[in-house]
Order: sequence, then structure tokens, then C-alpha cells
Amino acid sequence: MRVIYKKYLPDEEIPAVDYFSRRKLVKYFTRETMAAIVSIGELLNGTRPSPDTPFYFSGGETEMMDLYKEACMVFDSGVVKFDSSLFLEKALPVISPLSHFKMMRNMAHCFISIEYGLKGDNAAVMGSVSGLLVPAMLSSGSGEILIGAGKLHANGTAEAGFALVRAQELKTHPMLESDREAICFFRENCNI
Amino acid sequence: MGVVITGIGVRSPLGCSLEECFRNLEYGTRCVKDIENFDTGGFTQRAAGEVRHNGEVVRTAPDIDRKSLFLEQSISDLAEATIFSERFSPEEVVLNSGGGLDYVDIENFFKTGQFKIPAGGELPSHFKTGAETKAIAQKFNIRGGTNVFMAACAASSQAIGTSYRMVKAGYRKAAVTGGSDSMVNHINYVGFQKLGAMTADTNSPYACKPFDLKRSGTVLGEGALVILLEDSSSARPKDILAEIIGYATSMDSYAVTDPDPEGTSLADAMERALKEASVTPDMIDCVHLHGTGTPKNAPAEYNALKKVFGERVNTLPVYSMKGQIGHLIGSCGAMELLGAIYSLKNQVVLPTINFEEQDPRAPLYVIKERPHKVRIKYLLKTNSSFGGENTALVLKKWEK
Repeated sequence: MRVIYKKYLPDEEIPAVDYFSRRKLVKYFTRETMAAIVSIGELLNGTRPSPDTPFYFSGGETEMMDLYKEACMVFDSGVVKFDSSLFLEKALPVISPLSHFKMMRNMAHCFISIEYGLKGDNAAVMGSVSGLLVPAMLSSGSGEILIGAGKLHANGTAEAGFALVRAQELKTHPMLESDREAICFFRENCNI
Repeated sequence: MGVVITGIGVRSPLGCSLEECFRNLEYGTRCVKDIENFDTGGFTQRAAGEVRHNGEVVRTAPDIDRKSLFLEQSISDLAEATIFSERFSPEEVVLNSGGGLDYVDIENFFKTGQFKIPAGGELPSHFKTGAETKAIAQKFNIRGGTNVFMAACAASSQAIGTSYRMVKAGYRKAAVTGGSDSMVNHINYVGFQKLGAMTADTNSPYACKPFDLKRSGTVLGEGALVILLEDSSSARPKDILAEIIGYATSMDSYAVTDPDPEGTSLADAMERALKEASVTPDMIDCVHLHGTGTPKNAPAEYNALKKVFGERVNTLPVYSMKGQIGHLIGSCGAMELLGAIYSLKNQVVLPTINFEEQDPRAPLYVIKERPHKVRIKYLLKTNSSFGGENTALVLKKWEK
């Protein structure tokens, strides 16, 4: 089993542009997605998996609190009563359309599927190690399975990991029933 | 031996019980109306399918996350109806649910600048949906795992499909599975509108027109639906509503915002699900499609069907529920099982609400005005997400 794990501290730049062919799209990425792009890039190291390779990804945090704070800061500090019309008039213009892509939980899964041409069996989940490994273990197909996980902490720290595994390896893996966060699998099994 | 659906818990624009939902499906009640649960001052669009009971919107205070509330209520109803906690040990049951974006009580956030962490939430973070779903599982003593599927509009179908695989493989004896979502709130509603998928039609009950020539976009809905999946050998025969016999999922790998116009990967999911079910395309009696009402959705679905069914695409009855209740995003696939089960039980394909005129770019056989009576043994249900995930489930009328 080949496993890679990457961690980036809050102020650390994540070099996603170096690993993604459509560089203009990187502005749509959360730091979690960026870390995922780097991790899978290092795992595959220039190779492309078969399009029907099953692909399972477990996401974690997002950084949308910044969006809400940004939206609320446009009001005078003395205004404490929420007003729908006023909110839409003042707050919406400051919310970037890019933010809405960042809000969606399946974006890392989708951008990676597009980058690597993955079209096979899949799921985007948010959950435990078990919640990632069991669906992957039960996926259709008999070859390698691509699994990954990410997590964005509230302080901006981003983690991601990827592995190419086989169903048989997962069946006997000691973490198969673990209810810890999915990223723990990569933290603890990293070997690249 | 097969994997069967033996109970339903529901909170929906159609109603809050299976009987109420079936009644409104039969009557063709239009459940998309102007939003009532919160102030929509300043909104340019107000249409949504809000959860209703006896026709009245279920109202909640701003600090309530409706998708969590509806999930809990649905599981409570399911637990009571199926007594799964008495029939299975806690470790034998898994909860797999499709979820959506976190709810933000913007009124409270506006006042305090603080995001309310759910009571008991131990997260050093702001992600609530996972923590709340886990808490709900604990409340109902479900200890075989809790997973929230996040593939947007395909989330709940992936949850159900994965549950099907878990039960079929004997990995778990039973699964409480489905989905719950509500984007009918300030931030998520307006955010969705900014993505450009929402219709500009402000005549709410008629705003979402799946497959219709004049369709201009979708309308949001909300609600929860959970089913109990178990092996037919353990099921109480009187409870069995339908059997799931095939599941597959694929990715377009095309664009984040648009479906592959050729529907190639959607067709692949359909074909693999049929293969797993040992069913050939000519055996499928009707297809319940994703049918969002967006301009790009219908041609993609038509092209996918054509790849699988050939010329039969012009005579194969299809259906979408979204004209009637809106697009429930993270729970749409689960909620749309209502229509599938209704079709299998009553041997009809329901009319797609608000469909009037066929689009020459997607000349599907859409039923309109009144239910189409037809023998239905095998039914194909598909969903596709914003982002490119596709799912296909094959359901079979239950026969002993």
C-alpha cells in the first residue's frame, strides 16, 4: 500500500498550482483542496490511473467562517438588529462567487476526478476512517482503489493524504473499524 | 435473499408521513410556494419546497438547523415503525446519510459574530453536520458507524447505494439510510442563487419545469427521508416496500458546474447498475430521473438514456419529482425514492408536475396530467450532482 500525507501550517503556502494543469481553477480551492491536490500529485508522481479506478474521498473542514465575518463586517458596529433586505443589499456584493464553490463539500473530489480523468465507482463522504475504508472496500472492480482524505482546521492548518490500495488489504486492515477522523489513516500509515 | 426497504421516516414538502406523501403524490399537489419560514425581504426569488404537515409549513426558530431536526424526526418515526433497535444489536446497524452545507443562524451571527456550536459538540471547528448526525445516531443507539455523504445532489443516493452494498455483503445487518438537507435559509438560498442554477420564474408553484421546453432552472426544496435496509431473510414480510437489486456510481470528470452534455458517465452508471442487477435494458419499465429543470440537465439525461436504451428512449416513461417539491440537494435522491416506491406499489408512472411541452433537444417520454398505468417490475432511479457524481439504483417490485 502506498500512502502519502501532507500537512500545512496556517501561514504556509500550499503549492497546488504546481500540481494542477488548469491553474486558473486553483482560486476555487479551499486550503483542504489545495493540500489534497499536492498529496495526490506526489502519490501519482506523473502517472495517470485507469479512468475506471474507484475513487473515495473523505472531506473535513472548510473555512467559510471568513465569509460570514466578511459579510457582517460591512454593517456599522451599532447595528444589532438583523434585517433581511439590508443584509442582502449590503452583504451580498462583498461575498465573492468563488466562496460558493468553496462551501461545497464535494469539490476536492470533483476537481481531482477532472484533473486525473477518474470516471469510476466513487463516493464523497465526511466521516471516520471506517466511513472511508468500508465503502472503498465494497466498491466495484478488482484493481487498485484510490482513497484520500482532507481536513482544514479552524486556524487554517490543512492536512491531506492519499493512497492506492486494494480491497483485500482493506479487509484485514486494523483501522477498518476505526471511528477516528478519516485523515488519521493517512497520518499513521504514511510511507512515502 | 435480497436487500429490501422495510420502513420509511419522512419530513417533506409532501408531508410528514408515508400516507400523507403518497396522498399528495396521487393528487399532484404543488408543494413549491413562496418561503414562509423566514423573512425574505430583498430576495428576488422566493420559491421553495418547505416541509409541510397537513399543508402547513413546519415553522422553526432561527437557531434551529432544520436539516438536523428533520433527520432526527425521520429516524424517530422509522425507529418506531420498524423497531430496528429491538430487532438488531446497536453494532449491527449503520447510519449512512446524505447531508448538505452547514446551517448558519445568520441573525445570531450578525448580532454576536459567533457561530453557534451545537450543544455537546466537541469539535475544535465549525463543521456541525457531522457532529449532529453522530449525536443523532447515538440518541437512537446506532453504533455500527455513522457516515455523512457529501456528493451534493448525489449524496443521499450514494448513502443508500453504499448501505445496499454493506447489507448485501453482510458487513452490517441493517442500515438506516437516506438523507436530510435544507438550503432554505438566508445564506444557502442566496448562495445557491448566485451559482446560477435557480430559475428566474417567480410564479412559485410553476417555477420548476423538469424536461419542459420552457424550463429555466431549478427551485430549492428541503426535507429528510430515511429508510431501513435489511436482508429479506430477516425482514418482516408485511413491512417490505421494495427491493434494491443494483447500484453503481460514476463521475463525469467533465466540469464542476455543468453535466457532460453527452451523458456518457451517467450512462455508464446505469449500465453497471443494470449489470449488477442482472437486468437488461428492455426489462426496465420506467426511469425516475434527476430532472432538475435546468436547461443543461434534460439533454444530458436524454443522451445518457439513448446510449443505454437506444430507440426505446422515445417510449420509455420517465419521471421527475422536482417540479412538485423542488430540489432537495443532499436529500433529493432519498426523497425521490418515494416516487419510485409509489410507482412500484401502484403500478403507475406519475405525471411530472409543470411539464407541458416537449423539448426537441430532449424528446423524452414524460408523463403529464394524469398517472400512466403500466406494469412495473423493474425501475431505474438516477441522480447527478453539481460536480459530476452520478448514481443509478435498480429497484424491483417485491415478490416473495
